[in-house]
Amino acid sequence: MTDRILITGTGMVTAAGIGMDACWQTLLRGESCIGPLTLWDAAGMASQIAGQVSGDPDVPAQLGPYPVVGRPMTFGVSAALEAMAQAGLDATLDIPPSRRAVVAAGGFDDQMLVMMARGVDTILPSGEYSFESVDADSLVSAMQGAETLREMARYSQVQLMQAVAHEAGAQQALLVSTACAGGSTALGDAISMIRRGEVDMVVCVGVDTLITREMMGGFCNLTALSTRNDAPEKASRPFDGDRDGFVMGEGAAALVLEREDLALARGARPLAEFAGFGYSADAYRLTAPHPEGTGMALAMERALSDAAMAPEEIDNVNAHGTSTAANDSAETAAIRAVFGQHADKLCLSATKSMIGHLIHGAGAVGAAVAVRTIQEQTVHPTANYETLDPACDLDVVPDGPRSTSVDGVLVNAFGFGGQNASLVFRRWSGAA
Amino acid sequence: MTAASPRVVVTGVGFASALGVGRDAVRTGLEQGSTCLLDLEERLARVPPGAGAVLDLPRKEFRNYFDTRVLRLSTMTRQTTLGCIAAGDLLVDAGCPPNGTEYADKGAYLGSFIVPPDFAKQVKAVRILAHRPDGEDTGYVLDDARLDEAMKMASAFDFLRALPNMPSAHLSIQAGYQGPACTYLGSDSSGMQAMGMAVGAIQSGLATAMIAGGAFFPFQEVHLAWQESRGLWADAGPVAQRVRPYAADRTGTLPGEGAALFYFEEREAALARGATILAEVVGFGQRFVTPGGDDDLSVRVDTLRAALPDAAPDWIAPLGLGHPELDALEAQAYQRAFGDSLGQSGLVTLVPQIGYCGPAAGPLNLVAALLAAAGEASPKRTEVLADENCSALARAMGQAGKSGPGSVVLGSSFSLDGVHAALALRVGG
Repeated sequence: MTDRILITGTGMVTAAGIGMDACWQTLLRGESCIGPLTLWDAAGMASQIAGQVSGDPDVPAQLGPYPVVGRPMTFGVSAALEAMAQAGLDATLDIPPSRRAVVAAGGFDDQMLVMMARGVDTILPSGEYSFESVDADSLVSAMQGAETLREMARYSQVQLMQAVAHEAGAQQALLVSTACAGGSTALGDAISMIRRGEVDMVVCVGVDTLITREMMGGFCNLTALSTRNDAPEKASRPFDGDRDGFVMGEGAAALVLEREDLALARGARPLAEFAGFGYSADAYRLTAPHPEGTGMALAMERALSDAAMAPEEIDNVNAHGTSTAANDSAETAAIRAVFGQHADKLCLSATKSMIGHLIHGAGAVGAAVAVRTIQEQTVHPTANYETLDPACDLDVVPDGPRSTSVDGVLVNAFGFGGQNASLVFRRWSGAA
Repeated sequence: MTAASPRVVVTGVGFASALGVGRDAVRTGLEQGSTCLLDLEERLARVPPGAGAVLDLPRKEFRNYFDTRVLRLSTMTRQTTLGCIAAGDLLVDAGCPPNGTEYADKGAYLGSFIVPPDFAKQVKAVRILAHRPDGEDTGYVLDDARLDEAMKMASAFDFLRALPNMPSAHLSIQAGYQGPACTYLGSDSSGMQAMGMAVGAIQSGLATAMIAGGAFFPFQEVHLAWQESRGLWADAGPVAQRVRPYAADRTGTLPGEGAALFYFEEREAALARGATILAEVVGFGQRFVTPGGDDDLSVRVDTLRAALPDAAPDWIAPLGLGHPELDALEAQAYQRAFGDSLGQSGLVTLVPQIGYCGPAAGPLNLVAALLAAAGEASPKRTEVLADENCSALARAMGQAGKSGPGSVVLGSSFSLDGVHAALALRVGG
């Protein structure tokens, strides 16, 4: 048995397109996909811009008993089916169900809000906001007849995990939450499960569609979002001196991981090697990363150590790069602390500059982009890097794609509450 | 668990439920067999099932457990608070109370379930934002003109503290743990999954010690109604006897709040610091199956056998919800996995006493079973008039298993969502 883990499938749905190829081509052009928020009327919001997915992915209406409904499930299923198709993963594959797993992160839909309102309105008289004044008998009968409550559950991330597991014929399923690091945590947990011999193959899905009223309102209240409403395409500007916050995005990415020996034995095409990962917690504050990026650095160091790679073996960092003042400077400091002089030889990719921040989906998007970067030996540019911030002085590839030798890519994702995950991908060099 | 992996041991347990906080609460509860299930009052009395078990701990006493760093427990969501109270109890039990030090090699995994923290506020926001326009019978719309007004209902901190990852994030901050931290969601087995993944994290070298378990707070109207719509709640008999695991006349379960955490540690590290080893981890299994399929039972059996492939348990800690179908499936799974050897096993479930605590239920039961297997507590004998499908587990409820060093304990959680998990421990180490 080999210790190597390969990526054999990727899939993606973002504002940059539906499907991995479409997304990659948009990213290569350095084209911002941020625009006015049109999913609903955001006139009352401080931030009225977003990275919305255009069009509808072509997905089945049903996966087994699970209806594919709502944006998170539609995007997540689309990305997962694309990755599974590329990997050649289907029910006929000779891998026992108990040796297959799905690890998912994220995904709510504001249809839940509508349903909650509908459910609540069946219970509460107009103008009432608490249950105190409601007649007990009518409350009980309304609750017992609440079909909407069952409907609500269909829109949850749990159903995404279940549906993908059903489709992948997987008998292990996990749902993780580390906020913005969720997609990366899913991948880290997945590789751990394979290495420990618990499974042979994992489908990982990271998804979020938080361009919703509740979440946009919440992040506006936190003053975390860009308010550059008059120039949406300029709003997401990671590492730029004029950045003013992140832009909410939506979408999903999926990757199929499997043991090298089994993948090669069945004739799967290796896209890249998943070499290692590292987790850390800031243990600092709920609301902000450690200003010196100590937790971020710890995650990166652990990922390199796990991959048994020196910092000099990394050519590209797919940065967390949210475009917030606190994150980008802390991440730069952390990269400098980890990579030393080699930091000036690295090139950075800030994918969020074009598609916004997918929260639980962000790490999975970074990972899929890293795999494609290695395949194509090309680093996509970072949009809107125009004004130097002395605290963010790394090479972020500002002007068009860069063809270069890329053997190792490190992917960063850092979550609210200080939960960090870094991943390392490496060019596959042939069978061990 | 591979042969080359480091051995992982349990050096502390943390417990918070309606029985109280800490090992003494578990011991007393097991020995007296007393129930904490009560009729609920005021607003919660109006929602099915109208009864449940609540931890009666004044806010001013929170600080006795875990209020040592930058966050006040009283500002967190209830499930995060319960997790932190159990963690405070746990760290004292494990002999390593928080002292302001940061630990790069320790982490926290917590299983939880998203229940919005302040429903009255949420309802107000929802009702402002979403409504049925005059004259329309069916269509509910989200009215963006009301957005500003609705969002004033929630402060930035309300929003942040309710993010689903916060139970484990808070715990890391409170404890100063800089190792892996993650909240597992998605099913009532997520607490057991968190424990299995924590053991794996130590075996993989990600940490030398992990806090892991589950925390849960169910008392929110929509959540209770949702579980009612799934047929979970019991509706027959006086509250104190309403939850009757494996009994022929069982009708369902009742909700409870609580948290249970384990301190998992590399055996060598535990020995080096002179810790008392309560148990060693034998194995972990997790499985998923689409509920209601032909393989519903066989996957449950597989889950148990993945955790304990080569032995029979001396003590078992199944959920024991008192639910007609789920109890039958659980009993059949144990019977098929371990056959006649179950005749020697003792069974512990706290659900009739503290209610069903969702993702914390498996860990809470396992703490109690571990203390019974270690000889620290003698569960009160329970006689159950079982139906045919549940006879093996009903019998086990009335007997004691082998206790003391070497005794094997198996805990499990089979969720309605099809996610199942089991963890096996051997007393001593």
